[in-house]
Amino acid sequence: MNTTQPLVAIHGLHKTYNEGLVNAEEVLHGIDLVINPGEFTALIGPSGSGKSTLLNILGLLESASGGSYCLGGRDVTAFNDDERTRARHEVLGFIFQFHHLLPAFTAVENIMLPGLMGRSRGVLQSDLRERAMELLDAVGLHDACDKKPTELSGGMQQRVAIARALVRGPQLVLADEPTGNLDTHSSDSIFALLRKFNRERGTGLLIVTHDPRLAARCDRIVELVDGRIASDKSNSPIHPQ
Amino acid sequence: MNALGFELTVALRFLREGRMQTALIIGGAAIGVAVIFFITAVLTGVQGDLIRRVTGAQAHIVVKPPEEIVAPLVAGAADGSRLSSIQARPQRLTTIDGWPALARATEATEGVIAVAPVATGSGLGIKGEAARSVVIVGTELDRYLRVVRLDDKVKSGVLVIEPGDALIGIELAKDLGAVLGDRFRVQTAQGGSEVFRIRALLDLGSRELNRRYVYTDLRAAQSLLGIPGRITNLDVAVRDIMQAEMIAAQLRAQSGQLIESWIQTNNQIFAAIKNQDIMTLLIRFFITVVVSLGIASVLVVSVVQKRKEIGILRAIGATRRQMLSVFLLQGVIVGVGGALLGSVLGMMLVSLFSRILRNAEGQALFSLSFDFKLIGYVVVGAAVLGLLAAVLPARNAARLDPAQAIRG
Repeated sequence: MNTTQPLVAIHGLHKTYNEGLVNAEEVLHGIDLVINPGEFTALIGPSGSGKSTLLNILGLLESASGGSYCLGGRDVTAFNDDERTRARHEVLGFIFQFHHLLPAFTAVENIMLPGLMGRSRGVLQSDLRERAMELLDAVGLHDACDKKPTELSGGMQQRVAIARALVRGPQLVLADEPTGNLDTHSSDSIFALLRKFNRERGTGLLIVTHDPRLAARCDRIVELVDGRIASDKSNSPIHPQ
Repeated sequence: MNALGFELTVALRFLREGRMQTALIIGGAAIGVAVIFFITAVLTGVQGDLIRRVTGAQAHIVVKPPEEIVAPLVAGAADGSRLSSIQARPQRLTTIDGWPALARATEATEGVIAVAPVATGSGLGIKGEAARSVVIVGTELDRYLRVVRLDDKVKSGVLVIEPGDALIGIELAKDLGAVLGDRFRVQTAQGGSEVFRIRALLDLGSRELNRRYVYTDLRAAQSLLGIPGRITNLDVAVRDIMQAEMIAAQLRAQSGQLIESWIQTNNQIFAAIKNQDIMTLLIRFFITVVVSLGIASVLVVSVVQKRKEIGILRAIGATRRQMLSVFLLQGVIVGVGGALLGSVLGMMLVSLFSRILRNAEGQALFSLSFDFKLIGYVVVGAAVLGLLAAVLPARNAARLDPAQAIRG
C-alpha cells in the first residue's frame, strides 16, 4: 500500500465562491488530503462545513480557487472542462443523495448510460448491456431491469445508481449522502453493498455522511469543520456478521 | 436501448418524456408548414390559371420584324423657325427576312423550347350573306402546337390542318352561321381569296379571340396575304414563362427584330402577380419566424426543466459538446417531424380545397401533385431551422454548471 501512488492528492486547496465580489465567501481553507486506492473513507462534518464543495472539487464538478489536485497521478488542477469531463469519466463514479436516475430511461439503460457516452464507442451495445445486467444482478435487482425509476422504491433506485456508478469500473466512487433519505433497513443494505464492491473489486469509496453510525463502519474518518480538516483518523470498524 | 448513439438516444427520450410539449411544438411546426404548403399550392394554381387565361392563345415571346419608322429629313430647329410634324407611317405587312436561320438560332437559345413560323394578317370571313373581319394565322400546326397548346381548346372536331382546312373560334362560327365541316371563304386586302373547310371549333378563352381567329396552314396564309415564302412573325415558347422577359432581352441582343414577351404585352397583370409573390413570400417568412421562435421557446423551457438531468449526465461523463448535440438534435427532430406532418396536412388541405375553389369554367384551380422535391426542400429547410432555433437553448444546456444543476 505504501508503495502505491496515491489516487487523490490535494494540497493547500482553497475554494472561494463569488471570487472578487463583495459577497465573496471562502468555504475551504487550505485542505490537504491524500486518498489511496481502495480506501473506504467517510467524510463527516456539520452542515456548511464544506463537505459537498470538497466532494464536488474531488469529483471535478467544480474547480478549486487555489491549491493543487492530483488524480490518479495526473495534475488535474488546470484541466479545462473537456479534460475534467474525460478524467471524471475514466476514474470516478458518482452516487448522489437523491438517486438521480434519468426518469426517461429504464433501470438497465440508466446503468448503460456512462458506457454509451464514452469515447470508447467501439464497445458493443450487447457487451454493455451484459455488463449492466451483471451489475443489476450484483445489486439484487435483476427483475427490475426494464422498469422505469418511478416504478422503483427509493432503496431500489439507489441500488441502480450504485450500479451506474460502477459500470465503467471506476477507481474511486464519490457518494454524497448515499443513504440520506432511506430508512435504516435500506440504508444498511446499501452500505453493505458498497462494502461488498470495495472488498471484491477494490473500488475506493469516499462517502459524505451525517450518520455517525455509518461513518463508524468505514476504514477512515475525515472530519471537516468550517472548511478545515479537524480530524483524520483510521478506524477499525466492527463488521456485522 | 438501440444503437442510435448516445446523443440521439437521449434527444429522443427527452422529447418522448416531454410528451405534451413535444406534441404541441411539432403540431405548431406542422401547421406552419401546412399553411406554407397550402398557400404555395393555391397561389401557383391561381397564378397559373390567370396566366393561362391571359396568355391563352398567345405565344410566350413573339419575334416580329422591326417597325418601320418615319425619320424626318430635316430636324426641327430649336428656335421654332421651322415647324414640322411627323406623321406615323401606316404599317404595311412586313416580313422577317431569312426566317429559317432566325428560327434555328432562336430555338438554340437557352430556355426556349419551341419556335413556330407564323404568317398572320387580317382578312374577311364570308359565308353567304355573313361577312366578318378575321385574323388569319397561318402556321405549321405540329410546330405551332408546341408553342401554343390548342389541344385543350378544341370544342369539337380534330386538330388537323390539311391544305384547304381551317380551325376557327366558336364565336366566329356562330357569326358566320357555320358548323363543323362547313366551308367558308376568306378574302384579304392583298387580293387573296381561299375557301376553307372547318375542321375544328376552338374556345380560345376570350370572346374577342373566339370571334376573330382562323388558323390555317402556312402556305395558304402566305398566299392569302401576298407574302409567298415569307412569314410575319416567329412564335416562341419558353420553359419557364416567368423568365420570358429575360429570354426576350437575350433574343433582342442577338437579332435586329422586334421582340415582345407576354410579360411586356400584359404588364399590369405581371406586376400584380409579382406583388402577390412578394406578399406570399412575406407570409411564408413570418410563419417561418414564428415556428422557429416556438421551437426555440419550448427548448428553452425544456433545458430549465431538465437542469438536473443535464447535471447528472455531465457528472457521469457527458461532455459539453454532447449536451449541445442532444439539444440541437431535438430541434432538428422537431423541425423534421413538423415538416413531414405538415406536408401531409398541407396535402390534405390542398386536396380538400381543390374541390371547393374553382375557376370560372368550374375546373379545379389547383391540383394535388406530390411534389417530392418541394417536400424535400421543406424537410431540409425545417431541419436547418430547427437546428438554428435550438442553438440558444443548446448552448444554455452545455454551459450549465453540473455541480449547481445537481444541487437543484
